[in-house]
Amino acid sequence: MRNLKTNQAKQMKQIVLSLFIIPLLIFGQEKPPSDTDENLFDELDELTTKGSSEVIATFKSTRIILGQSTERAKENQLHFRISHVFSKINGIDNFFGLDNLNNMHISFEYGINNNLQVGLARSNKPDQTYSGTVKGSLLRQKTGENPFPLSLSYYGGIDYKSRDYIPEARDKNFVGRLDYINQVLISRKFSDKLSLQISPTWVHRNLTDAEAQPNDIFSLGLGGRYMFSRSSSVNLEYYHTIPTFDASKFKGNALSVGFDIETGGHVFQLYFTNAFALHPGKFAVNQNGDFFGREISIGFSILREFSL
Amino acid sequence: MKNLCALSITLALFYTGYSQEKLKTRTGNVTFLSETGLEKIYAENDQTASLFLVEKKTIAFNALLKSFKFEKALMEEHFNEKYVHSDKYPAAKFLGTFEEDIDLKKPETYKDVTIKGEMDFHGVTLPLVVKADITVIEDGSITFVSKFKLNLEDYKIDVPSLVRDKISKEVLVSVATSYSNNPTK
Repeated sequence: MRNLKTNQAKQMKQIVLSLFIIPLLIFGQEKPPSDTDENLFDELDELTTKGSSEVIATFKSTRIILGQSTERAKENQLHFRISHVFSKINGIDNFFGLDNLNNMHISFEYGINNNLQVGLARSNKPDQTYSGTVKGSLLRQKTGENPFPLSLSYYGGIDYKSRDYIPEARDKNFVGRLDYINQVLISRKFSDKLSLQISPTWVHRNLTDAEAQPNDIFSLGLGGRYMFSRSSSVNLEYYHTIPTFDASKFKGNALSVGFDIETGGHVFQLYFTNAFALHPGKFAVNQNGDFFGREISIGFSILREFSL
Repeated sequence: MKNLCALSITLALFYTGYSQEKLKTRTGNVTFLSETGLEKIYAENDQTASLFLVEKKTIAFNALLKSFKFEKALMEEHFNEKYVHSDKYPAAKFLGTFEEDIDLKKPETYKDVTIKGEMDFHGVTLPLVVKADITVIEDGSITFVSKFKLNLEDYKIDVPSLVRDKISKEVLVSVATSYSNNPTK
C-alpha cells in the first residue's frame, strides 16, 4: 500500500511538472521579452511591412528636354505641357529669336496606373501633327533587398500629319499621313544629382518627302541631368541619327541643352536647341539646324500636374 | 493532494486571466496634416508597425516614410525626395512610456494618458511628450489614439521660402492603432 502511494505521488509529480513545461514550450517560441530599446526596434523593423524600394525622381518630368524620359504620369495624374521654340537666334536685332514664336507643342498625358501612361499631343510645325502616344514603364530601378540597376520604358506614338498637301492624291492619302515612333528608354539614377538615359529610337514614315529617303530611320538618344540645387538641374540631350540616307547630315542631329526648374506642381524647362520640331517623329529623323553653326533657338516648356 | 489542487486552480486562474505582455500590430494608422490658407497637405500610412508592452507601459512605433500615401503623386515624390529624404532616413521611430499609473489589464478607457518618449525622424532624435486615449477591452486587446504636433524646423526639415506659405510650420500627426490580444488575428 505504501508503495502504491509513492507511485501515485510520483505520477502526480510528473503531471505537475508537465503542466509547467507545456506552457514553456508554447511560449518558448516567442522571443524572450526584450529589455533594450534596440531589441525593440529590431523587432519593430521585422514587423514593418516593407515599403517600395523603387528609385524615385530619376528625372524631374516625363521629358529630358524634347525627348521622353523614363518618368511617367502616375496613376490618375494628368500632365499638361506646353512647349515653345522661338525662331533662330540672330542677335539683338531679333531679340535672340524671341520676336517670333516658331513652334508650339501641346500635350496631355494621363497615368492609367503607375506603369501605363497615354497621351495626346498637337504640334504646330512643320506638319500640324496630332499624336497619340503610350508609355509603359516595364522595369524600375530598385534599391534594397532586390536591387535592380536600371529603369526601362517603352514609348510608342502614331503621328497624323494634318497639313494640306499638294498634289491632291497626296492630300487624300490618309495612310501616307501617318508616322510611327518606337522608343526604348533605359535610364539609371547614379546619385541624387546625376541621372543618365539612353534611348534607341525607330521612326517609320509611311510616306517620305522624297523617293530616295528611307521609310525607316533609326537614331540613338543620349541624355542626362545634373542637379545643381534642390529644385534645379542642368539637362543635356542628343539624338544621333544613324546615317542611313544621303540627306542625313551629322550637323542635323538634335542637340539640346537646358535647365529644369521645379516649383511645386510645375516644372519649367528652358533650353537651347537646334531642333525645329518638338515631337520625336520629326526631331529624331535628322531635320534640325546646325547647332555649332548657330542655328539655335531658345525654347521653353511648362508642365503642370493635375490630380484627377 | 490539497497542495496539488490549490496549485492546479492557481494555474488554471493564471491561464484564463493571461494577457500577453507584448501586443503588436503591423497595420497601425498614422496620418499627418499641414494646412495653410493656400494648400492642404495630407498623407496617410496604414502600415505602421507598433509594439505595446503591457507590463512595462511602453509603446514603440516604426513608420516607413515611403509608405505615406498622398493625394498628389508629385507631392509624394517631393516629400520623399526633397523634404524627409527617405532614401537616407527611411523611417520615423517613437519609443515612449506612460507616466500615469494605469492598469492595462483592466477593461477601461483611459483619457489623456501622458506618454514621454523620444522621436527619431529625419536623422534628429528629440524628446516628445504626447497625450493619448487608451482603451482596454474585455479580451485584453487595446486601442490607442493620439494626436500631436511636430515642428518641422526642430527636425531640420527645410522648407524653401518659395513654398513657405503653402506648408505649415507645424504638422498635425494623428496615430490610431489597435492591438489584438488574440495572437491568431
